[in-house]
Amino acid sequence: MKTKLNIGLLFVAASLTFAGCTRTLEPGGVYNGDQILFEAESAINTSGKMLDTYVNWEKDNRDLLWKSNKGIKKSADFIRANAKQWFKSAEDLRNTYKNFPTPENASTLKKTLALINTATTEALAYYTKYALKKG
Amino acid sequence: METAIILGIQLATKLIVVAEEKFKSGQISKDDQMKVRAEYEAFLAKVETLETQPGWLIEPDPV
Repeated sequence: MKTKLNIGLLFVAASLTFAGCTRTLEPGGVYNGDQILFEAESAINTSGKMLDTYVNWEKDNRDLLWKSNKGIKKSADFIRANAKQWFKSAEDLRNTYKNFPTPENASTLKKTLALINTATTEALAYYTKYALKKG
Repeated sequence: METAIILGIQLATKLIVVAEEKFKSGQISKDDQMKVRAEYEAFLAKVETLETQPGWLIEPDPV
């Protein structure tokens, strides 16, 4: 189980970035072949699911988790306080890139997604440290 | 404690499923592209009211 979890978390970290992506888009799709736009929306979806799962897990198990590691609630509260702004910024930059698909706009979009990635992986690091402590 | 660990493992399993889906290589079909777009639009709608969603309210620390 521990190995499976570690491999899974590596997938999580890797999947939140653009780097190393080998996927291509079937022609004629809603993205018109724009790989960057597809990967941006896909990364936002993935981060959103993960952060939503994480804050709900923390809330549902708060008393137990608080006794074990107070940092878990603090990291969840940090996400709760900032995630809306992160995702709104990503949406704005995604819209800018969609309307003006320049290399500069793509780069800015990727940097913002990297910030969300950092928050997600930090939350996962807390989670991993706790969940695998006795796993 | 055991309950929390089990719930933690369930969380990890969910995350693995999400990540493995995202990590698949190969060509993304038009249908799958539409699914990603629909999911993205649904998530944006959720972001608008994120602070009122279950699990997202900032509550006092336990005593």
